[in-house]
Amino acid sequence: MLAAFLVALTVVGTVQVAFAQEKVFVIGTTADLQPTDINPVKPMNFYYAEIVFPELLAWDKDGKEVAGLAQSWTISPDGMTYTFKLRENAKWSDGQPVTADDVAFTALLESESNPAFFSYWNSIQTAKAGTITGVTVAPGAIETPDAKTVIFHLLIPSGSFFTAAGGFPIFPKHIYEGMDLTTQNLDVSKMVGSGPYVPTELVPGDRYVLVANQYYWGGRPSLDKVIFKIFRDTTSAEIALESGAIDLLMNVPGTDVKALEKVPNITIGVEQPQLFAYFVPNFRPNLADGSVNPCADLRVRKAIAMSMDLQSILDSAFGKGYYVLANQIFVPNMYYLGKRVWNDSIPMPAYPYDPVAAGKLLDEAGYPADAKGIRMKLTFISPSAGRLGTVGVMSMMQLIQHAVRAVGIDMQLVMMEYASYRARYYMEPPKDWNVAIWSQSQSPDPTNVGYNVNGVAWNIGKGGWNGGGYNNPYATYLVSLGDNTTDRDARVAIYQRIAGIAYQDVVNIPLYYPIEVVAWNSKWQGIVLGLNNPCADYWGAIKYQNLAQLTTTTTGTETLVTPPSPDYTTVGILAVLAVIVLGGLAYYLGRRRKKTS
Amino acid sequence: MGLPAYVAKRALVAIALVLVVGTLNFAILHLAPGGPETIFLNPRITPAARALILKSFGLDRPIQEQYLLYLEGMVTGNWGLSYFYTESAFNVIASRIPATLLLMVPSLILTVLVGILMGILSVRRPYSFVDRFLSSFAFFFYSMPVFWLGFILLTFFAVTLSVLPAGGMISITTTGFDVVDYLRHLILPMTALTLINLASFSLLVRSSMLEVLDQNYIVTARGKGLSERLVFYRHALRNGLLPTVTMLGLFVGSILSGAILTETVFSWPGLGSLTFDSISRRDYPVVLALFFIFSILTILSNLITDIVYGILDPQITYD
Repeated sequence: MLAAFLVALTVVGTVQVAFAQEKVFVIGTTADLQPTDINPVKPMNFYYAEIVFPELLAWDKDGKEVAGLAQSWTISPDGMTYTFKLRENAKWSDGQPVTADDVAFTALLESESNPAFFSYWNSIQTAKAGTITGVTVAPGAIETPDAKTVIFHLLIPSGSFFTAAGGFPIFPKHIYEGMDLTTQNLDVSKMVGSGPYVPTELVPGDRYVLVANQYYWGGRPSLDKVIFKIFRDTTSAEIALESGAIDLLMNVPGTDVKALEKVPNITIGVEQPQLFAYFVPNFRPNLADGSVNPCADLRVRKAIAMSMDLQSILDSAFGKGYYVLANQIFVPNMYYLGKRVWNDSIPMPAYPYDPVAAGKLLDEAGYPADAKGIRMKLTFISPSAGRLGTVGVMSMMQLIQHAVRAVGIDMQLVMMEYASYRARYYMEPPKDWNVAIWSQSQSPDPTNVGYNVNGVAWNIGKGGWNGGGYNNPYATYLVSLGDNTTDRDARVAIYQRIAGIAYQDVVNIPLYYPIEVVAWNSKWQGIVLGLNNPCADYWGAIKYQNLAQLTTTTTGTETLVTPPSPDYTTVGILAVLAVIVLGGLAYYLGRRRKKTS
Repeated sequence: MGLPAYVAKRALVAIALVLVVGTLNFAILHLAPGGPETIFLNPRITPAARALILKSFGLDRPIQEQYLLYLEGMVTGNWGLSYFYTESAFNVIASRIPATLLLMVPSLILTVLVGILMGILSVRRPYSFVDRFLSSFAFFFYSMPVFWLGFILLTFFAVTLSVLPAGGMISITTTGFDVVDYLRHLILPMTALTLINLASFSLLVRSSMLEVLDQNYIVTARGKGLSERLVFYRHALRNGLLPTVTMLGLFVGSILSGAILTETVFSWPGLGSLTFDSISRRDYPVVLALFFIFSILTILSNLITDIVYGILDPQITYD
């Protein structure tokens, strides 16, 4: 009876297929989106923000700066003055021109109100109590000689200012001025942007809808709407892609690729986001319980790295082709303004698999094997959710556990949900773990990566990116030098040196650079993955410029959300079966009733 | 003791219970490692900025003060500001309640109706093929994880047959609320929830009816020459259904917990998915308010069950 009910509902449902006539591109994502993600004074999600609020600059595939909202730019020879000329035709979606005042307003707003991003502007800041970040922009630091020209005067030379200022979303002054954005979010349906699409609806936990901006400086976008559909589960999202409910799915797990490849009309693409996954050893001599921390010894760190046949492990965990073996703190496609930062002198693999040599190192370090072959117990912490909580990573951790056991390291793997994991990683030292897994996304500027080895201030305490507490004065000096050097070649050389030190001191044990798999409905043309690759973050396989140019293979009236054709034969068979079952049941009950009466 | 006095007494007990449950919720959440600051605070911000942010959310206050504020909020409805949505937790939750009700209520009704029907069909001829088939059917789905069943239903109906939508509450491209569209999206999650919960109901009805059919008054009714139909539906069924009323009260809680998984699998934007997300983010105001609502709903539904039970069964007195 229930089956009959379901079939009946299904048949009714089949008739009720709705057809959309607009050109809509639906992107499935498992990354949730909140109103705060597009609030300029909150920890923004740059990927979502830049579709609505493009930055002054964009980056080509070699990380070289190209025009964004700014059409041209100049940097003074002393590296202290940066001038950006905005596009003449740049307008907000309400028809107002994008002006230099908007850029100055954004810099002031961010430096004074957004603790997450104040460091972007710290080279033009001076201390002032009373604001949230405790800093504000020095008088005269930002100049707007005309409506389309903005000039930044720095207080100190900064190597990262150009990429920071050029890579920050610009917000409309005439909308945001006077609003208290720390306690309220702008009504999404009234947002005004300068990008190809502007939001009209945000249903938290469900969808984020953007419509074409007719004033977009890059020309009328090819789509009427872009919708981000939020899923909490990857399998559900894959089913939605297969059914045609969504057009593109980001972050497909490598383990699901084979199944998706068999689905007709699905195209699979890969790109390498600027992400680096690695082990962070704890450098403190003792753990929270007072016990000796073996990882403080360079020989132990090296032995751990050498005890793993990393390539085989990663092949098993992620599948060949769905990761890149890591050997250093910079990703291979890390380009700083057209210059590759990668340090060629670091061998690949960084620490070749050699369990015998690893055992010798542990002997030298004073950790002989006991009767059971165990030399030490080490606690490894790992999250069970997020980008490091995937099935592939869990599988990798188990394989590593097995591998290090062979050289006498009893790896106690502690997996925990993400919030608990972060608390454990950032706990006040001394910490209670020996090794943690961590990942870092890298921007077009190498500054952040340098902080991996920065031993000053916030790095020594709770951790930041240097959660292990590595502290080498020379490395810290190099980080500071890199921050204040403006010559591009000199900067690259400094960061390559930093990568070399990180390798020598085993500041981290490089694991892999992830490969992001993207799957989409083959009817779409013009999808370019990794456009602006240096900016591509974990969620950003398809960038705003690309979204403005997509087309379909459908001719005539383009229908984006093409409902899949129902299989009427199967439905018919099921309906007939249900009728037979129901009829049989009715006949049976009728006969029984006759008998009893 | 009359009904009003009984209700008043139970309400007092319910209030005490809510207080205890609320305190436990607060304690458990705050004892869990990883507070909200570890999630939304950038490790690079200055200590001053960190202090200001914590202050703006009231996280700088002593824990006992946070607890008192929480209790006050439970009474006044001012549950504080969601750390992630930057709007009142009340509004965040209120915006999700309709979606959950639109899934829970139809599912509950369908479960009760089909469960009772299956129980009756089974008991009409105990240990027959139909009885065994229905019991096996109920147990089959009862032993199935709801998320797995959800994926099977989605794969079969949304991909293989392409006749039903693959999750969500309304079509992705639909603006506003379209009843037919909603009904189409409701079919699969409602079916999953119903199938999983059917066993409890149908088997309870079956066993209860079997017990009732053995009672002396049924034998008397038959002896009086009443038709089997009359004996079954008028005398046996009414009494046989009494335990299911109790079950209904307990059922609300299990449906709510089932909804968390169901909403996750079917991308249904209700309270279940909000609970899932808010716990991961340690969004204390939202999580505590959600727990509070769930507790109230469960306690209330049990209270109503007790009252209805008394109305249905005149033998029960409110002592």
